[in-house]
Amino acid sequence: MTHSRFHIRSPLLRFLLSLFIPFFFLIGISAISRAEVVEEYKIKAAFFYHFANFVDWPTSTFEATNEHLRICVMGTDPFGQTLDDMLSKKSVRNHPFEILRNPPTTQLQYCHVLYLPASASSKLQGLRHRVEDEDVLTVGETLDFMRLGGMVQFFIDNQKIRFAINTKAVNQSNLKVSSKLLRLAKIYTP
Amino acid sequence: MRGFSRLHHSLNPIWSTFWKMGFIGLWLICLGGTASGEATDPFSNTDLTELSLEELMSLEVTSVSKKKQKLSESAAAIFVITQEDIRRSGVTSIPEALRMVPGIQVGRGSKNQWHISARGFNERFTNKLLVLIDGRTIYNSLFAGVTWETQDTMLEDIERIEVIRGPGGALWGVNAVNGVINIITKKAQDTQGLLVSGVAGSEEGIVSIRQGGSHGSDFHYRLFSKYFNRDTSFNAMGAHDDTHMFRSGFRTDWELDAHDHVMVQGEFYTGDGGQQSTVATTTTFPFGFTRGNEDLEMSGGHFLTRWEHTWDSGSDMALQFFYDRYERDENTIKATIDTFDVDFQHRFEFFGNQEILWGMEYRYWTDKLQNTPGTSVSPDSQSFNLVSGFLQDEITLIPDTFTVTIGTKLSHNHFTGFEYQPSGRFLWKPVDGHSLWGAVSRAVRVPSRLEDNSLLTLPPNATTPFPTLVRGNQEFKTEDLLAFEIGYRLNTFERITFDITGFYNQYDNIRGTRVISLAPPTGTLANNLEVDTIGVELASDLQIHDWWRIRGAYTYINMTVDGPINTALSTVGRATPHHQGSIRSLITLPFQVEFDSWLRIADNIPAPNIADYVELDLRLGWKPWPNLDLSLVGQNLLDNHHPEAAPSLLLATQPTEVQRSVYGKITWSY
Repeated sequence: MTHSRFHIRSPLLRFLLSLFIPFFFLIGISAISRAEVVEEYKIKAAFFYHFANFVDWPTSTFEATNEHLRICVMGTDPFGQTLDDMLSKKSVRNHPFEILRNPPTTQLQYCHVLYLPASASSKLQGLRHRVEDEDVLTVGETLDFMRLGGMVQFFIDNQKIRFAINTKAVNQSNLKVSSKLLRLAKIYTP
Repeated sequence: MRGFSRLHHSLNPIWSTFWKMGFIGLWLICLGGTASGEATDPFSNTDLTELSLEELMSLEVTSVSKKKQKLSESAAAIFVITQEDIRRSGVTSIPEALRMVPGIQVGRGSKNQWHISARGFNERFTNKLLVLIDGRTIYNSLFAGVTWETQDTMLEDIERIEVIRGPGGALWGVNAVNGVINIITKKAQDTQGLLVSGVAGSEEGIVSIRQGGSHGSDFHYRLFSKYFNRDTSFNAMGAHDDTHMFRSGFRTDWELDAHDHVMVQGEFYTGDGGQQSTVATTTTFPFGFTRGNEDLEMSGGHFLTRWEHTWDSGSDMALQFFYDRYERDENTIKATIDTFDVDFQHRFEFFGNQEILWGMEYRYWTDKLQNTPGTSVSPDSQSFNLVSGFLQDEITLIPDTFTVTIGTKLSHNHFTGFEYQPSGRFLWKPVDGHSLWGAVSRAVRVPSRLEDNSLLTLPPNATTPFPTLVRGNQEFKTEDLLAFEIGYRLNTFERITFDITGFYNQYDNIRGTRVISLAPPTGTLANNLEVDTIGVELASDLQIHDWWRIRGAYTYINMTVDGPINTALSTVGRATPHHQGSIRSLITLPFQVEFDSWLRIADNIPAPNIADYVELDLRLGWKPWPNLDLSLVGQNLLDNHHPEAAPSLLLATQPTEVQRSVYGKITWSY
C-alpha cells in the first residue's frame, strides 16, 4: 500500500477529526470576536496621568507656572513609546508632561515622578538619598521597592492593575496625596 | 484494520482534501488572530487617560512580556518527577523513578539492563525515546537506544525529571518519536555545602559525596563522586549480573550579570557489569557458540557548557556546546563513540500575541568498532553529521484562554537525508483550573548504524532451533509516526490535580525482517510493519490532608501490528503490558517521621510469557536533626523474585529477575 504521509488508517479517527476541524474554525472565529484585553503598559501610562492629577507637589518644585511635569524612567523602559504617545500632548494644572529616560542620577531632584520598572525597582536603594528630601513621587513595581521606602507600587490582582501607597514614605515628604487616590489604593504597612 | 482498507481507499481523496482544508483553515485563523491582536483591542482608539481611575482598575490586562510558561499549562502530556518524589519513593536509580510516570514502561532486565519505553515498543534498546541530561542527548546512535546502565548522577542533586509522552520531534528532533525525558540537575547555588549519603542493603551499596562552594555571590560550584555496587540477582540458570560503577563530576554556575548565566559541567564514569551472553565463535555455518559469564566494561564522560542570555523585553537565548565520550567493551562488540554538539535557541515575542521559538543544531560524531565473529558492522569506523533547525510559533488567540502552537523541525541526517517533523497543538482553558489540549504531529526515527550495515549471528533460541543470520539493510528508511493526542487537566484547587490523555499513534515503515535465504536461515531488516497504537494515561495527585498525599497513575495501551512479523527476531507489540498502575501514599507523621508506600501493578507480556505482577515498596524516614536524614526502605516486597523484561532477541544476553530488597540510608549535610 502506498499512501500520502498524512493518510489516517483508523476510520473512527477520521470521523472524529472531521468533527473536530469545524470545531477549530468555531473557536478561531470566537477568538477573533472575543479578545477584549488592553495592554498592561497602556493602562499604567494612564495611571501616571491620574497620579499627577491627584498628587500635589509643593509649588517650589516648579520654577514656572507652566513648567514641565517630569516623569523620569530609570533602567530599561517597558513602555516603549507608550508614555510619550499618551502623555506628551497632555498637561496637568498647566504643567505639560515631559518624559525623561535615565537622566544623570545627580539631576534626579528635577524629576517630579521617578519610575523604576520591575527590572530596576531594587535600584531605589542606591538612588534614595538623591530624592529623599526633594519631593519626588517614587513609583515602582516590586514589594522590595516598598520595603526600601518607595511610595507607590503597581501590582496585578486577578488580571487587573492595582496600586499600593506607602503612606509613611509619602508623609515624610511634602507631597499631598488626595484622599480619592488613597481610597482606591491598597495601603502599604511595613 | 485490514477489513477497512477498501473503505478508506474510497474515502481517501475526499479525506485528504478535507485534511488540507483543515490545515489551511488553521493558518487562516492564526493569521486572523494575528491581525486581530491590534484590531480587537477595544481601546486602541480610545484615550485611556479619559477613563477614571475606577474604570482603569476594572480593565483586564495582558502582559506584554509573558512569563515563562508553566509546564502544567503546556499542550502536551507532561509529568514532572520532583526531587521530593525521588526522595520519598526510595528509588536508588533514575530508571526506577520513571516507574511512577503514566505512559512509561519500565522493566528491569538485570542489574545493568533496563527496558524503558514511552507508549509501547518496549525492549532493551527502545529506539523511539529521546533522553537528555541537562540538555545533553544520551541517545546512542549505534544501537538507536539509551544505555540506561551508564546514566546516573547524585540523586540528591536532581532538581526534576520532565517526562513528555508523545512526539517531541518538532522541537527535539529525530528520535523524539514516542517521548522525551529531560533530566535536570540543580544549579550549583542550590547544592552548597557538604552532603554525604550512604546506602547499605541486601542488593546494593552506594556511597555519594558532594561538596558545593562559591566565589563571591555570583559564582557557585559543586564537585561530586559516587560509587555503587549492585549485587547479583536471580535467574534459574545463574545470574551473574553484579554491577559496579564509579563516577565523579562538577558543575559551575556563574551569573555574570542580571542578564547572563553561564553553566559548565563535566563528568566521567567507569564501571563493569556482569551478564550471561551467548556469542558466536565462528563465521561459517553451522557456527559455534559459547555461552558464558562475562563482565562488560563501560566508561565515558562529558563536558558541557551553556550560555543563557535574557533581554529586558522577556526574550531569551541559549547557546550550548557539549562533548561526550562513550566506551563499551563486551563479548559481542567493542565500541567507542565521540560526539560533539552545538545548539542554539532563541525565543521572542512577535506582534504581541505570538511567541516564536527557533533554533539550530549541529552534531558530529565518530565511532570506532571492533567486530567479533558474531557481530560485525561495516565500516568499522565512521563519522556522521546531523544538521537541524526548528521553528515554533505559539499564538495566543484569546489571552490566557486559547493558544495554538505550530512548529516544525527540518533536519538532515546521514542515512535518509532531509526529514521534516511538523506539529500543531492547541490549549484551551475555558475556566480557571481546567485545560483541554490536543495535538497532531509527525515524527520520525532515523536508522541506526546497526540497521544500516551489519551482520549478526544469533544463537538458537526458544522460538528457533537453528542459528540465524540477520543482515542490516542499506535501504533502511525512517520509521514514521503520525500521532493524534488529546488531553484534559484539572488543577482547580491546590489539593487536587487530575490529568487524562488519550492517543492514537499510526506508525509506518516499522522495522521487521524479511527472509532472504533458508540455508543458513538469513533475514534482513526491512521496513515492513505497520503498527497502530491506542492508549489512555491517567495521573492524579490528591492532597487529602496536610499530612497525607496520594499520587496515582494508570496506563492502558494496545498495539496492533500488521505485516509479516517474525516472532523469532522481533518482540514488537508483544513486550508491552496492556495495563500498568501505580499508587503512592506519602504520609508525614509528627516528630519528622515519614511513612511512604508504593504499590505497582503490571499486566503480563506474551514475549515470552512474563507473568503479571504486583509489587510493593515501603519507606520509613526520620529526620532527627535538620542535617541528618535516615531511612529504611523495602522494595519489591511481595515476591522473592519476579521477571519484568523480555530477552532482547537481537542481543543474546540473558535477563535476570528482580529480587526483594531492603536497605538503610543515611544522608548527612553540613
